[in-house]
Amino acid sequence: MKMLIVILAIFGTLQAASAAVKPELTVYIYESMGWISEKMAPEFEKRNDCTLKLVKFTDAGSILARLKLEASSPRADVAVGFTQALTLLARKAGLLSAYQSKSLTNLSLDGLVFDADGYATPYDYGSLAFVYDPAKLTNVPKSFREVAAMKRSLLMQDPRISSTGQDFLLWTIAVFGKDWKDFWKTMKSAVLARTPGWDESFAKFEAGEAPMMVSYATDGAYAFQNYGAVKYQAFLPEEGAYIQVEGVSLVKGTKREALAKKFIDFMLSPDFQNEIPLHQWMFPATKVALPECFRYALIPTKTVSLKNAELEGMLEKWLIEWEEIMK
Amino acid sequence: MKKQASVAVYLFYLSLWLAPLALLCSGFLDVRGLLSVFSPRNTGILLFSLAQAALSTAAAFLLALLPGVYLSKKSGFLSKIIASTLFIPFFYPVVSAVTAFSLLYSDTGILAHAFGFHGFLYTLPAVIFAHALYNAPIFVSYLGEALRKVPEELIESAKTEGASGLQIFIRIKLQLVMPALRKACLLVFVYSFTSFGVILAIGGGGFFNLETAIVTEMRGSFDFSRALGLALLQLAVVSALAFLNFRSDGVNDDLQPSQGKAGPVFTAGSLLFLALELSFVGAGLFASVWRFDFARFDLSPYLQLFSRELNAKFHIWEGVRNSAFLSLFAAAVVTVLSMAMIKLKRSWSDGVVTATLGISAAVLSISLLYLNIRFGVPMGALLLLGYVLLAFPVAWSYLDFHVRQFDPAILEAARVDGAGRVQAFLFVELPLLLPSLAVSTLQVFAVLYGEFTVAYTMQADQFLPLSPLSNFALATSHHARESAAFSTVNLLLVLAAFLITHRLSSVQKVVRDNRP
Repeated sequence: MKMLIVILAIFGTLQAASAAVKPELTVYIYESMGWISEKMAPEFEKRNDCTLKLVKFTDAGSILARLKLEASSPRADVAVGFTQALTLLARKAGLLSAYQSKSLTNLSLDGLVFDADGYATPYDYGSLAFVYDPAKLTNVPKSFREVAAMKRSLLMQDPRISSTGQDFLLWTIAVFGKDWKDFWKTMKSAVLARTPGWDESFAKFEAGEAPMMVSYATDGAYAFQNYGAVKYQAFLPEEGAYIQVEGVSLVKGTKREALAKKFIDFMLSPDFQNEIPLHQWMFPATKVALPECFRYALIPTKTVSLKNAELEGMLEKWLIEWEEIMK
Repeated sequence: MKKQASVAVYLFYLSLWLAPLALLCSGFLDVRGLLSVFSPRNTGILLFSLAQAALSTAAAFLLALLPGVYLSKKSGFLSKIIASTLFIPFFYPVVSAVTAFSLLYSDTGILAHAFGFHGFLYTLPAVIFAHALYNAPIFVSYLGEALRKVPEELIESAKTEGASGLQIFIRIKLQLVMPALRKACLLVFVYSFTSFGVILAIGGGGFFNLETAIVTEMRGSFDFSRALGLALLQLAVVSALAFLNFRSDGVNDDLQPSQGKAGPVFTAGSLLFLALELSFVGAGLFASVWRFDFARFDLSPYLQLFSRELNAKFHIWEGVRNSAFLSLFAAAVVTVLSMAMIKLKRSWSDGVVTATLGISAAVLSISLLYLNIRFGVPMGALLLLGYVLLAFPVAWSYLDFHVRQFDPAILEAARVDGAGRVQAFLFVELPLLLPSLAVSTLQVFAVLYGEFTVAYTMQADQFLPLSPLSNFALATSHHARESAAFSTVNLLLVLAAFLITHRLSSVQKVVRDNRP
């Protein structure tokens, strides 16, 4: 009898202990999204009585590489930061599950939903642009061809390593279509250096190595907010801007599916979307008021894009062809 | 018995490298990936890797020739500075080297302003020159030491027989220094062949060797199979070179310089060498305190490193403390392991250790991470293992000479007096080897302190903030100036460790000279 009471007591304690342990949601983010841990993560944890574990990677490409490694035993529940191209690769590798968020309403721009099946839910977007130093560049080019005519004047990110670089390549393919290779044969001499990421490009740009770099149309907003002045300017070529949309995805095999879906919905909530402009330096996917400094951001009037059907299975081939041209 | 123990120990060492790699291959390498190694694209990358490494090695040798000869003949202040440049290839972080090189040789750099020197950065000559600057001190050290060993009597006899200076150099000196030169060639070639940071940053993305191709396959195409195919190709090439070429000599800094003068040509060449090497280091340090846009010194980023806000977010000094302790612990483990393995050394041992230099750090890191994913091996243990494997060749290279040169007669005398093997080791051999072990530990510490790839891939900052990761977080969070300042602080720490090893080497020499 005494033994039975002891066993029941132990069992009861274990039950109570497991009930007291909060569920933990693991979210893979890229390095500069670390701001989420300051205000947004505690808010989500409070609303859902859970623990949020944010795991940071260099960039969204590194997140995809990690998901591939973990395919047999996934550890992440949510992956944040996948672009259109990365989402296609992740889908092809069977790493994601579909989720159609009901919070995806009141979108701030048409065409943001790049995956109609819900394998990625857009949470912000930005436009790539050419950023230049007005002190060094007085004759501002108006088109891609005019940029290509300027020898050793552009810093860009390497599309073989950087998602920004990849989107820059896709931008030119969207503009020039099947003639994109001919364009890059002329563009080659304009590129001073290809860097592994945006930070390295910016460091060289600030050091004055080249008058232009591939960056984002919101750079002016960032400069005004942080330095009170817009030292560098941005321009969009007349052929049209390329919108880079970032999405949040449900990882296949997650054991916290319901909580993961709540996190995706949370990223579309006004509280989260309001934080996007001053932390991500991107435009929020839903309509929220933009901060004052965003009047220095370039708003594209004409855009170009690639459909999933055009992009599917082509990225690897394009990267190899581009590499061959740039040798 | 000893032969069997040797084979077992070295097989175990190899398995630490190859088992994680084999496991990763079992998960991701397929026939397609293996066959892609023979594609025209990858054949071109291999040929470029070999060609650029060969050119870099030749350039490093040419740069090192005059100071190497100078070092063999002189032991004054200039020689000491020349010898200290050995810090650069082993301890000077690639990130700092690349920053300094850009500062000096870019179109907006110091030489461009002073001499109108343009269009050099992001070219193949720039990559080769950067490799030469980085690795020439290895040649200087090996050449200087090998020339010192040439017996004076041989030279005198040849002169007596009527041989000219050139004949003496070609028929005597060159033959005698060839083994050391071959070893230095192999090391410099392997370092240039497997180079990543220099190729990527100084090449401006315009050049591709195997190491950069491996990383871009993993991060660009996400094709692990092709990446592993390339990694195995790189390992095969380096292993083949290591086993064909390697013979151990170790570096002995005890030898006195040979007699004879170092003419003005050698002195001038040495001064030019020092100007190039020290500017390579100095430029990075200078850039961290000088504001080019305002033309004044600015130490505020250094002060910012102590701010509470920055430390709460980036764990700056916590990272320094953790990196110091972890690196020291790993260094001690590596030193003990190296000593044990050197005692069981066979003729093929050097080849085994050098071959492991061919394994990509990125692939090693992912292999170790995969062990955690598949089998739940603790991350901390894998981080330590990664550190040990990466640093082992450094400790090996240094300790090899000192452990094998230990006079066995001393141990024999101890045994004759009745001491057992363990007692002889603990009370005789170990105390005498202590300075060498301390130097090795500090050298490995200096290498591991700045190690980034393994720590980042293991996501060490999730459980243990480390200095290189804190610095990376600073750099990617728009704190570029604080990151540059922090890099300089870390560099000074590494330099301090290196200078202590130099001091200990002198102590070690005194101990050896005063031995009865």
